[in-house]
Amino acid sequence: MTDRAASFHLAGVLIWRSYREQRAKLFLLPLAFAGLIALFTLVAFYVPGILTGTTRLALRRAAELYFPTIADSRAALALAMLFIQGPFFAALFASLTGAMTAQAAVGSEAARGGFELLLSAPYRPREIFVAMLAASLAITLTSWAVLMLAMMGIVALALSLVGSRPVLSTGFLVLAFLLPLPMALWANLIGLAFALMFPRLAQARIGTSTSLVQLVAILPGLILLLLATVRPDINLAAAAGIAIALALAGVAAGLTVLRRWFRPGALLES
Amino acid sequence: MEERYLGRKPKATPRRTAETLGGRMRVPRHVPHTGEPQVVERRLPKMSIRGSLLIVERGQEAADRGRGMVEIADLSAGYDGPPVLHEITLAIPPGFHVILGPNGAGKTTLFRVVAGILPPRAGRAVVLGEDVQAQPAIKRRVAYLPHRAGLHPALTVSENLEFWARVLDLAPRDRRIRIKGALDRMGIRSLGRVPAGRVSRGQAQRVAIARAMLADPQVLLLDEPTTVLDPESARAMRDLLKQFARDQRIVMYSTHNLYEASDLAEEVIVLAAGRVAARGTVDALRQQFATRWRVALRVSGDPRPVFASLGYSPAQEGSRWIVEITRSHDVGRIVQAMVEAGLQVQEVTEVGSPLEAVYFGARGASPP
Repeated sequence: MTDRAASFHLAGVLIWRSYREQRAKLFLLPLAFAGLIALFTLVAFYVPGILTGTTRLALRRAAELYFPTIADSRAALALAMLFIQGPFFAALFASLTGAMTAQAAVGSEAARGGFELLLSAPYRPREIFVAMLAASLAITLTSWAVLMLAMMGIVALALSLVGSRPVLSTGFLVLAFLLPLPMALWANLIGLAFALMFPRLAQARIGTSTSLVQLVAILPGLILLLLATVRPDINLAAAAGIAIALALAGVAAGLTVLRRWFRPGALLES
Repeated sequence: MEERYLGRKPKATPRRTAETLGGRMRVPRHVPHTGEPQVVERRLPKMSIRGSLLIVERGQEAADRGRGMVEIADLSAGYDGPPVLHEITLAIPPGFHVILGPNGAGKTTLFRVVAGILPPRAGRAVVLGEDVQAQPAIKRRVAYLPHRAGLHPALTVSENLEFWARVLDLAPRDRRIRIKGALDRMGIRSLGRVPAGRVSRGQAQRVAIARAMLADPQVLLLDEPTTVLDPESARAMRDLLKQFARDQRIVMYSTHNLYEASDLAEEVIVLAAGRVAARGTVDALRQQFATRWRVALRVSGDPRPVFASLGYSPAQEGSRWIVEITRSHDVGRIVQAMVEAGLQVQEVTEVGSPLEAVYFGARGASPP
């Protein structure tokens, strides 16, 4: 087998294992998150008062900018939540699941001595690394696809209920729906890179629950969400486009670094 | 001779025929343990015919001999700090090789290098004629059982084996047959559908051994495999491994259990501080390192006067008399003196493992 064929074969085996281990759970998490965004939209419609002041202001401004034709202010607020804040929430979720998927894959292997076994299999360390990354990305991609399908369903339902079309460019809509993907890829790579290259650092935690790696991984998604909340008047399509380009560049740079500096010895207990 | 797996034997292939293809020969055979028919390709040594003589070229002969061995040359290896193994050179032929040594001596590191997990800092490890770092495909014929079983708790026992069979890229039909055979061989067929997270440590270790045997490896590296097994399972596993090693395979086995080591070893390698402190058969090492033995004798009558006349002060443990000797032929002298004194010697046994003195002597340490 060539390097690439070996990596893809192993990636397929790792995906098979993840599916056997998690089965329906693989799809439940993105569905649950889509449900959460639907819940936020309903909250914006029925009880906007329980939203934070900053979010409420951001939604009002977004509603004025993007949904000026909708007479019902509550409906405009809900659509702003779904169309303007929703994609950035989804990007944040995708980042988090990307980082967690990668860390869980590496962490569980390290915890049970699985790396030692994988490295004893007839693959080069680089092929194993690429396979783990590819498997992790494929799972993240599946998660993103499920989330996006669910989101599209919610959007279609909301629009049919409101009976109107939002004043949003197609470019923004495409970028908004694509945004979670590079964010997830970035987070995935960061999660995997830290876990593989600095196994001890990957365990470091900030506060009680968030690991340092997860924080770094979700940072771009978090910054974008804050930007969309604080400055809804800026060109959000451009912001999403720049974020996508930066994330993809980061992924390419990260892969180059990892291919050069990945040492299997760091994963073994001496 | 290099052997390459080509797939299952076609049903139509006659069992006793062999088709010669240049320097290679396709040979039908049966997989040991499973009985599964398959075809392997064997590389023939370079040969020429001179008159009525068949001449096998020497260089080729030597190379072919190396193809059945694990060869370690000037090997240094380690992790982040100083090296764990220091310039080790070993040639390990087929057979049962027990690696002894205290914790930190480098046993696991040696296995990791031979398994191709850890790249050496200097020197190289050649497994079955191939540099294990340069040719990772050779790892298909090497199975490694690390300290920890490494099972995936959410997968069933069968799924764990299937995962490994997929990693090794075994054909789907072959996978099913081998998994069934491995479960049967280790006596864990009933656990097939049980999640690995729910089996006991001993059972998990048996699953891990089944996984190691799955691809019918030529080299088996076992790092303290019986530590968590009950005595019956440990004995069954040792019998299985002895059988396995008889089939011209290499078994490298590390243990702290000296009884187990003396029972299994065709050869013992004692590692100390990352170097080979001693190497040889149990008997040869005893001759070299053992300076004192404790022998138990069961004798009718009172042997104390005989012991006293020979200068021994024995200790009595129940019906046995324990005496410490410094030369192996002293046993014969004691027995002869007993018989001459009209006593009947019913039993003579060595106390402790025959390897205990070797284990400590080779490392320049004193037994406790």
